[in-house]
Amino acid sequence: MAHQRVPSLKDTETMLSSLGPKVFNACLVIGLIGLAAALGLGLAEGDNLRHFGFSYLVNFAFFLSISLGALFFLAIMFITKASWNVVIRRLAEVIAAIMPLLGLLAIPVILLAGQIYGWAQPDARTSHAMAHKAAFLSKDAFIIRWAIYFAIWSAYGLFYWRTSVKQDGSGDVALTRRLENYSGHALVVCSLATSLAAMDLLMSIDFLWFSTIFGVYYWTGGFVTFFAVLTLITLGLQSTGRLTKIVSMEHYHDYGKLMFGFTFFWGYIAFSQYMLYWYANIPEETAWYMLRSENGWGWVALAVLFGTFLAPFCGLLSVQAKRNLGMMAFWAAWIIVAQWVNLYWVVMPEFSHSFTISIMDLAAFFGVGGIWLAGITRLAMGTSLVPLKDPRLEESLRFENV
Amino acid sequence: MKQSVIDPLNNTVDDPTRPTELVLGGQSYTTITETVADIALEQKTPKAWYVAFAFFASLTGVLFLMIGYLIVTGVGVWGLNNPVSWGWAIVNFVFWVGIGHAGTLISAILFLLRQKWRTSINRFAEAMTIFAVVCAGLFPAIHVGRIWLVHWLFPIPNYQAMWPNFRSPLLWDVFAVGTYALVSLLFWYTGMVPDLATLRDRAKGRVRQIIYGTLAIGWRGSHRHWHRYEKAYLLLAGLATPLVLSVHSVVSFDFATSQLPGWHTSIFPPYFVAGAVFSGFAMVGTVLIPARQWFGLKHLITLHHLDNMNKIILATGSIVGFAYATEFFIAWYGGNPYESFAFVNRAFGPYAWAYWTMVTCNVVTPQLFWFKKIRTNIKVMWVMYIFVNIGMWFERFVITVTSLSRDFLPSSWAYYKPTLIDILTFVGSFGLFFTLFLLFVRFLPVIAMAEVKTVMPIADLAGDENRPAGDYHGDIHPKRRKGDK
Repeated sequence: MAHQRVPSLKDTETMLSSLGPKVFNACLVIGLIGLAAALGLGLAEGDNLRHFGFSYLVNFAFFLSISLGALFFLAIMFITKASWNVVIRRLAEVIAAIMPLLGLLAIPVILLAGQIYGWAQPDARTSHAMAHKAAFLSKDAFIIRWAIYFAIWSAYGLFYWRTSVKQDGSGDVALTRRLENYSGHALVVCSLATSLAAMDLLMSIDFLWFSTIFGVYYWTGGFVTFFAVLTLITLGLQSTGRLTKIVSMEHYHDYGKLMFGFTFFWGYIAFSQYMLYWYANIPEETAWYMLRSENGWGWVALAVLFGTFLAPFCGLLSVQAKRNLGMMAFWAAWIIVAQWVNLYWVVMPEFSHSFTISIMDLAAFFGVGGIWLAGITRLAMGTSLVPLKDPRLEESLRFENV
Repeated sequence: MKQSVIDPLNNTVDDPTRPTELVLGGQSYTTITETVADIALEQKTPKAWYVAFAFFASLTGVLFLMIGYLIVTGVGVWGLNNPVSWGWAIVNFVFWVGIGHAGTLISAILFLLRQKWRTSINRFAEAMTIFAVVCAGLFPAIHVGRIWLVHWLFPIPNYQAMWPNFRSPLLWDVFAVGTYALVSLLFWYTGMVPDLATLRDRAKGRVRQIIYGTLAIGWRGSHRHWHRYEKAYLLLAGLATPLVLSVHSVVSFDFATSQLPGWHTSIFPPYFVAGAVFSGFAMVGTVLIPARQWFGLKHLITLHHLDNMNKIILATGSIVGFAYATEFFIAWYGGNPYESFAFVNRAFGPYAWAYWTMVTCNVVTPQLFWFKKIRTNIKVMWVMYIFVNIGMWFERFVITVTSLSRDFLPSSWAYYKPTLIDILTFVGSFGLFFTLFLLFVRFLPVIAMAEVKTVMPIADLAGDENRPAGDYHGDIHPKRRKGDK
């Protein structure tokens, strides 16, 4: 409130300090055990790691999408010169700056491409439908493109984090201006890379199927999941006494609005793709949905419809829900699970035409997620959790929804 | 700000340490009221207004003459031919609906995103939305052929117990555009009520007092009024936000639900929405720049406002370019020979001139807005707006006509040419648009006075060091009343 004292950074703990190593070690152990378990289960199946490849792909795509969400969030916040987000921006910065690690985590996908992707199968290589794009959908081109994607994402992800950390020391306003100026081309280059990467990563599993909106579909899912993850991380940090007072209900209210808004937007994008393909009813387009609506996958499709769209839409509609931390935690967790199910539904039917789920999927989730979170924690350990000298920090501290 | 010493009306200097001033020239609440209300009440109507009104009203006359001729004669007076059964009427419809999008984006989405700069331009944009939707609505109505049966578009159980086809996207259009028109009108009017009351209180003639008084529906500015007004405004903003997406998405369904190469692609809904916002902002700019010049509104509609608008134009124009590229890529990637033919035909076929006009105006020239010099140069940006208007009309022309004129059967291919009637109808629709717009700037509050006042520093109780603690009363800054020097 206007008449209350504006909180200051002195009111709270802004360093991870002793918590950092604990979380880092725990995540690393969980991650390594998870990956080892998934790999072990995969080897035990004796299918040349085909099942493992798909399982891993779901989880890699999931955590990549969250970091991409963070990267786009930063670019949009800077280009619009937004101020409300400053107190929580460092969290987004470390999530985006983890891109080089995600680049390493992409290696299994590339190594197992021959098991995962339809275009890599020997009979596909010689098919008529492949003839014109054989050079594009080849292992070499695939590796080159992934190297480019990660070079782009890592460069921008590290740029935001490094520049912001640099400002912690100098308080130089010119750095903010540079962050704003770079965000223009960041959005252009990262949009192109993300759209094409989504097609490479997920759409090309079935190399016959195509959809112009697919990049937006993947991006939107990641964007909404990012807000859910941000909500849970902020809540977690506050429960240990960090960032208390400075991150207020007003900031959570904005998280809630963004989760709600992009839940709706995700539904809109998913509907655009589904409805147009259903209506025109062209076999080469509906095949993708047919596979995902039969043999048990139809139930998953309904879970995706209700889980990612209808339920959180209703749940987050009211102001009361967005300003209730219990509700926010619940819906954030819900969205994370639902978006994971969405990616599972996009990927897994290509592995098995009838519904399947295994402990390996869970192990791979903790494997990739543990290492991802360990990396994020490691980055966050060295610096303050809040940009200390951002020129808009004051505005963010006294921010209110009107 | 340093810059303000050099040019008091340039507030585009990027200073992250403080919020940008949105109202310039040492304004107070009183001067804002005077500036805006006097346009409608005190200022003598400029001669130029009469000239412009006479011109555009005549064009409106041409529009209705053409429509009359069409109704009496039939749609054969248009250039439609056998494969190209949708021509300029649909192109114009999509063009005008698209232009209507800036209003709702500014009034609803920018409101929810706390973009305070919207307050100076939202009234213009919302008015434009209504007028553009009026122009848009005309075209499908006169395209139906037997216009005396146009009410069949609505799901009223008529005398033959016939219902419209609910599975047709054309019917969804009726609902989508109808809802949009209604909500936009409601939004525009609700936002205008406090300002209409201001006009009522300042109007001198009895007739004006009665008219503005009726429109102000008893607004007295009490706390209760304001409380309910703000609640209603927020609710309308929330309801209008999905409408920004839905209207042009449904318009895109007219094309995308078909199986026609070049029409059927999943990116159409968001791509149409981005294009609509793009064209809408360009049209707002087209009318805003002359208006701020003529009515002396440069301290309210500042360079910062125009700079921001140009950034939105750059962003949405780039999204449109991204969609063009994705369509082309997938046309190749998908390997469907008809689809790739449609795109190669667009770029290198008989309509290549239209395609490259579209690409130049929508994708290439807006990229100049990367440069701040161009974003803040009034003359250059106005020319750019005209380019965008041209480009977005051509986009709809390219989509509609190229896909139809060369269909699956080469023996039925035909080249589409508009007739004079087509051209005059389209030109006439501009007459209608600008006639309504001229009436608006003459008789209604062109800037949302009440809203602009809330973004001035003096409205920020906490942020004003000149205000002693506990002083929550109005206008305490240097007062300027009429006659003061």
